[in-house]
Amino acid sequence: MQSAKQFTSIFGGVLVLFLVAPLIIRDTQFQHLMIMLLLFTTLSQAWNLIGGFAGQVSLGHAMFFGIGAYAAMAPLNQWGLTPWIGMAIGGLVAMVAAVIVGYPVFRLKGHYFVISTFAVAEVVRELFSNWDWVDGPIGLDAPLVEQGWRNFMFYHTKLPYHYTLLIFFAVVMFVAFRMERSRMGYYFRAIKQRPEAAQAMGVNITLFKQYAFIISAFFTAICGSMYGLYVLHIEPSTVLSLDISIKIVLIAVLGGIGSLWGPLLGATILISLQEYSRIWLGGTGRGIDLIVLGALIVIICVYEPNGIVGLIKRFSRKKRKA
Amino acid sequence: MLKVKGISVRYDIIPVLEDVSFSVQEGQFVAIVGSNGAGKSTILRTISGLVHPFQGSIDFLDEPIQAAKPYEIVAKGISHVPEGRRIFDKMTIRENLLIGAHTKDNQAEVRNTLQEMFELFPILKERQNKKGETLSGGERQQLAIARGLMAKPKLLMLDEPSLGLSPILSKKVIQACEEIRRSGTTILMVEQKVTEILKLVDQGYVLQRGKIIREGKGSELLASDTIRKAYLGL
Repeated sequence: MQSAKQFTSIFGGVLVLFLVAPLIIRDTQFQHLMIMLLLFTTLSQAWNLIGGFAGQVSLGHAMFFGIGAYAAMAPLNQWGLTPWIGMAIGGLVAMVAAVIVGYPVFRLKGHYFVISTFAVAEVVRELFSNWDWVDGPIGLDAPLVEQGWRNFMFYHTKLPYHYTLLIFFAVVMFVAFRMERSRMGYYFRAIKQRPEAAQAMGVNITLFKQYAFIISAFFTAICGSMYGLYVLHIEPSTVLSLDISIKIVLIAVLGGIGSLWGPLLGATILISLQEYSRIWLGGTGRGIDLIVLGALIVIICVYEPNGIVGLIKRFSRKKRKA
Repeated sequence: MLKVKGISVRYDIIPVLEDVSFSVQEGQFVAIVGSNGAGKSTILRTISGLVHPFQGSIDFLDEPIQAAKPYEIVAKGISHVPEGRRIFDKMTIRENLLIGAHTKDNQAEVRNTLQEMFELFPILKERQNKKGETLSGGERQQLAIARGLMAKPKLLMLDEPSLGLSPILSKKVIQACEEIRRSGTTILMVEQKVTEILKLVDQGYVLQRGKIIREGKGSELLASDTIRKAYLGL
């Protein structure tokens, strides 16, 4: 586990980098890349709380992401309500959804748990696809409203999105750091390694899994809200899709499941690949990023299941020995 | 202290325990012996709430616990040291021990218990900052027992603590159990090593195919012809 001093210095460096980079590099494509990087790092770190720390691999996080996106966009679209309230409602609804979903699915173990989270997310996607109030499969467009912080709409700059996401990224990183060192963090690690032994020690494993799921769902929903307000159009096939759930997991797997810096490292590779293959190759290059990513994941799984963070640790150990 | 009355347990449709009854008095060292697959571990798993009986009752300190959750049972004062040690490999020895004390809020008490464990098992003190995965089989067993004791249980349940250990290590672990018992903790142990364990215990039960077939003082059981023939090959 990283010491507090090490974490603070790396975290400080990363924050400074993200604070300064969009001011120095004014290219909008680069700024878009940074926004997506922050968004998916935050999402993957939120997933890491349940999937990495507590070892409960959820393939249904798109459900929370979609809830957040719709909660911010629908009231803005229908009633002109400030998306900040929608975002808060989205976070709360996602937490309630996590409790309702978690109650039955945490009775399942291993593959059955994974499949059940995927199945529940698909049910939610179908529900939204058939819900007239949110225009079913067509989805919702952000209304043309006055730009500014009240409506969280900015038509000439990406910086407010960048810095707002940077705050969420910092909060999630801090929560993950604190959680890793807390009593709860110990319980998560115990549950991940040997659930029955943890139970025999008197750890209420269902309760702690629920805590992790609720916190994770909240941050995922907030990211969903941010995404909707940034791209200005949401529909079930984008914000509630299996693609989103899988991408969140792949980022963590690539970077290092259960590690603090894994999501940032994984997102840096995956999102850069995704964005630059799209920019350079356009429609013809669609899917190339996933082919490269697939190959990387295979290599990682074979040679270093702890992801890039594991590789870095291995190399630094070798260096120390040499 | 612990009264198990007529419990029957099934895994799916396969019966594992049938109408099992026994009791443990405060301060006693009680053993349940039997061959592999007799259902010994299931008895402990049932008492600690990891599986629930479909019939019968379990009372601990005059309170029914057969339907209680594992964390409620630990809070009542029962600690279970599972078979095969099952320590947390990726955690340090100290962290493993602290998990055992998670039901305790008084940190001063936790620190004192930790010191007591280090006195009982000095090797754990030496290696407290090493990961669990670095320990040998005997050290793992010591850690598993110490972790169980960190909750300051009234009843400590040990599932085959000598399993897979060399005779010397096995003797050490059993000596540690005697010491724990002397300190006032009641012990319920399940074991396959019939001779060693029956010499020590106050009360023994013999389990065969999910049923208690005999009970008595350890020395009485050791002297019994049935036991000598069935388990000792004499």
